[in-house]
Amino acid sequence: MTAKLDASASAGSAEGRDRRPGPATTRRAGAIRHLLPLLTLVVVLVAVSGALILVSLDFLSATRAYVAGESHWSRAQQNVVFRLDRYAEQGNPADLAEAREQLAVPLAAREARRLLAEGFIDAGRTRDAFVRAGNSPDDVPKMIRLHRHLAGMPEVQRALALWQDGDAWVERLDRLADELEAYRQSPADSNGSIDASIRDELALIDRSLARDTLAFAGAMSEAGTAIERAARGFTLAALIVIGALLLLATLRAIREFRRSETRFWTTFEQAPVGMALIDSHTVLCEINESLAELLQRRPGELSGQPLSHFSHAEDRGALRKFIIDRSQRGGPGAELESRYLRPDGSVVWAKLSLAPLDPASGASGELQVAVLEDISEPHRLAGELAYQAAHDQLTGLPNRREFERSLNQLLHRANRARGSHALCLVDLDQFKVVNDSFGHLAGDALLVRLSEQMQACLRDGDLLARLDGDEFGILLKHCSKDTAIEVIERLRSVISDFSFRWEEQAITISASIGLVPLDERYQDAPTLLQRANIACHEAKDQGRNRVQVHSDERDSSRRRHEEMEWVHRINQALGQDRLRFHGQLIQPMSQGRYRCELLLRLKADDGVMHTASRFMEAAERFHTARTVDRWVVEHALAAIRLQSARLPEISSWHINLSGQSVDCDTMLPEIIQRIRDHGVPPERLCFEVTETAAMHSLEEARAFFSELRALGCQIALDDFGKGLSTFDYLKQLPVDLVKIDGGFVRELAHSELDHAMVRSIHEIARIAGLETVAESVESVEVLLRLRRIGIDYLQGHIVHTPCRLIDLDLPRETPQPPA
Amino acid sequence: MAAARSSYRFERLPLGRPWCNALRLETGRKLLLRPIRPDDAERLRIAFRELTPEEVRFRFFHPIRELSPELARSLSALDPEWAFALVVTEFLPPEDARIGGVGRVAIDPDERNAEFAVTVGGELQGFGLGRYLLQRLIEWCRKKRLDSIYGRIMSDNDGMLHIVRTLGFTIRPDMDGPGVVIAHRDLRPRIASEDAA
Repeated sequence: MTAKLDASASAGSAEGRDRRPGPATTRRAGAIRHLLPLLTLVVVLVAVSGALILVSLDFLSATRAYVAGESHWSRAQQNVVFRLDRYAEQGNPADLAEAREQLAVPLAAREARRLLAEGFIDAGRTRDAFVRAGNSPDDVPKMIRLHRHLAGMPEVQRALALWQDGDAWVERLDRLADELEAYRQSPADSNGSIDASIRDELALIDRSLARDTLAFAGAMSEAGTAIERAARGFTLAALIVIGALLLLATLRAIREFRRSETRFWTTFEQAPVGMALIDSHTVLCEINESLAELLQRRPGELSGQPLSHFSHAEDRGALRKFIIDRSQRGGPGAELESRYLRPDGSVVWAKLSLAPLDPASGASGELQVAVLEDISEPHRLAGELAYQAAHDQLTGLPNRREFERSLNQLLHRANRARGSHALCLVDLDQFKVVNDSFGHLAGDALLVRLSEQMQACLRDGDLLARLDGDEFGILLKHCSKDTAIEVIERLRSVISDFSFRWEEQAITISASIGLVPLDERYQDAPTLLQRANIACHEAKDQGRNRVQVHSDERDSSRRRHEEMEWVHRINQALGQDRLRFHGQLIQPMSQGRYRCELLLRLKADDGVMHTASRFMEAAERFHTARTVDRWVVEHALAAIRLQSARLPEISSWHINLSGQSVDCDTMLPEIIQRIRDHGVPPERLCFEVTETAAMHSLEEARAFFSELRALGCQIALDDFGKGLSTFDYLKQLPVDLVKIDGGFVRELAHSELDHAMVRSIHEIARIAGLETVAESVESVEVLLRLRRIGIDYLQGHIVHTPCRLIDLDLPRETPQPPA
Repeated sequence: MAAARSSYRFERLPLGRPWCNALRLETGRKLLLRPIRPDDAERLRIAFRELTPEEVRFRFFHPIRELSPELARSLSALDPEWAFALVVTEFLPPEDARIGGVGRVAIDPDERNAEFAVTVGGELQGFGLGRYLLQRLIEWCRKKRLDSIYGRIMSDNDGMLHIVRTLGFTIRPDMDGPGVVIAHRDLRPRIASEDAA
């Protein structure tokens, strides 16, 4: 049995290779195509044998017409003989006349024969001759056809030869009539021996004619018989062949049917998926082993039961509806994923797809093929993946994506059913310190513990998610603003009271929290998140460890908003390559060479060039300064290499770095690498760092500067004096230049305080061995004072207005400031 | 036979040699009847030229313009065991005498039957010479003890048909040649006795 199944299966696959695997209908059409040549042959054979039978009947009838005609002619000839004989005996002219009249018949037959032998070009004359010879006009065409088509047949040939021989006798009769008449008219010549001779001849003719007539009739009958025999033989043969072909076709059809049936059942039985024939009442008629296995029941238990019987109670209705629906509408259908119950109570997920067993015969009431596929594993994996995709691995909290999804869902729902909710962003203050001081393990452990604590102080139904490393999001559902503030205040205090012990040390932490009440003026999720973010930053700005409720009216929040706009624009500009450098020359006061500072510009959508001061603050606040600096270093080095070749007089090129980039671990190696990549001599580079930025981590800055200086670069402290910077920096930090903030310089001419400030900065710098640069030198008065103070370099519009690098050029001669 | 004899319009004069006669026509013209000789070939050709087209057709069944020397030779140089021919010539020395009629018979390969042919030129027709020639041929065949003698005659050759009918021949159509009949006479004794009666 197995072997048989295998064989048929392999035959099936061999055929499958020939044909493209297609839907069942295509294969069925293929089977019919298999039978088509046979059936065509049968039809052709039937048609041919039918035609042949008709033709042979025609010929048969023609042979009869010939026999009938011949008998008519011969009777006429016998009459002629009789009349002539009597004339020879009695000399009665009436006999002669009668003989001649009768003679017309065989003469006409002879004429017809000659016309036929000529190829009967003249069918009309032939017909006329036959009619005169006493044949029925209806028979003549048949006789002509017989002669035309069967003259080669031996029997017909013999008959025609006999007919032709008869001509001679007819001719003799004709002649004898004349001879006899001649003898009768000249009685002198006549004598008995002539009469006897003539009567002998007549007798001979009579005998011969009688014999020939018989022979002709015989030959024609034989021809008829032969035709009949041939027709019968052919018909019989055709019938046998047709029968055989039909039998063959039937056998082939049966074999095809059996094969496809076997194929079907083999497929059915051995299918790795559960299969069943199912009727319109969802009752299982036939089931395969895989199905029994899937449902973990014996086949006997399943057969005759409705499939919904084994379905999970919750899915039962849907399942019934699906099956009945499919059975009524038919066609290739959708799939239904639902749960089924096993006897042990476990649930298995399976995908049910249905197809009508016979797609041709409409759907309703018919059996359907049900395919049930175990999708428990994919289902489980999908669930797992969905969970993983939605949750943070460390804390097990929902992640940002899930948080945003929930927020959107809430907004969507809130649009229909109004209610107030609240959105919070929790940013842990100085979490980096924890990581740096105690290690990441400690940081992670803290986060886990802290998230538990946070979760504990939230209400049921509130959503806590970890959005980023030290950033959490909270969604307070159905919560008034006051309640929200209350809850979040409590949360804040929980966080600040939270004490985490790690290696015998207590770690404390605080959080800055931004809160956005979701009132009736619902916004989209990104806007809300942005607002929460702004509020959170405000909380940080205002001293940390506090909750800041977002408010549209606040100036600070508007500024935040603008800053965020800027961050967006910076990112866009980076992506669209809309950042540019302008160059501003720094002129030596007395001796020395020109320097040049590269100033970053952002080209806005409207073409306006924005200066770095407008956007770098935002970039720093929103942690994009590094990205900008990476771009700056990369492109500045490229530009410097190009321009320094053109302008070798410039001794040093100044590149601005954000304080956030002052980082030995990542930025420093990158910068050094870039310098090497571009092959710019480090001696010609000067990195400007704002002292405010450098303040944050003095140690880091010192290491950073030292490394760069070791390489040969110079370091300038930018905007010196602007912030709360102290002269101590000049001692602490390894720098080469001090750039005095424009704020002092601009008012130098009029403010004695500023003058004193600048002078002291310069003094101290000089003592520390640093050179000084005055920024924003915009008037001659200022210039003169600076000169008097002894400032080393000047920078500002009066010296040089920033321009595009390609337009950058040195003044022809060093302008001498007026004395 | 009496009736037949009465139709002869010449008299025969024996010459003392077998198959040879002198013939005197009613007109007084003298002719010589003798067996054909090999040197008659040229004279046959000359005589052929004297024949009318119809006479040629009656003799050969289709028009022939001239007798070829080969045919003339074969017609004149005969094997006496198988064939026999008589010619009617002018009563002159052989080299000057023209041939006016020929009757010949040839035995079939079956050795039982013989086919005859008789031709008499236009100026000698009407004297019964044809009938006489045929009678002498029948006589030769009888001497050879043949079963029958026959000849092919055009069915419109009324003169010849008359001769054979009066000599007791039966006539039937020749199946091989349209418009030709075969005149046939049995020479065996039973028929002969009938004939005699």
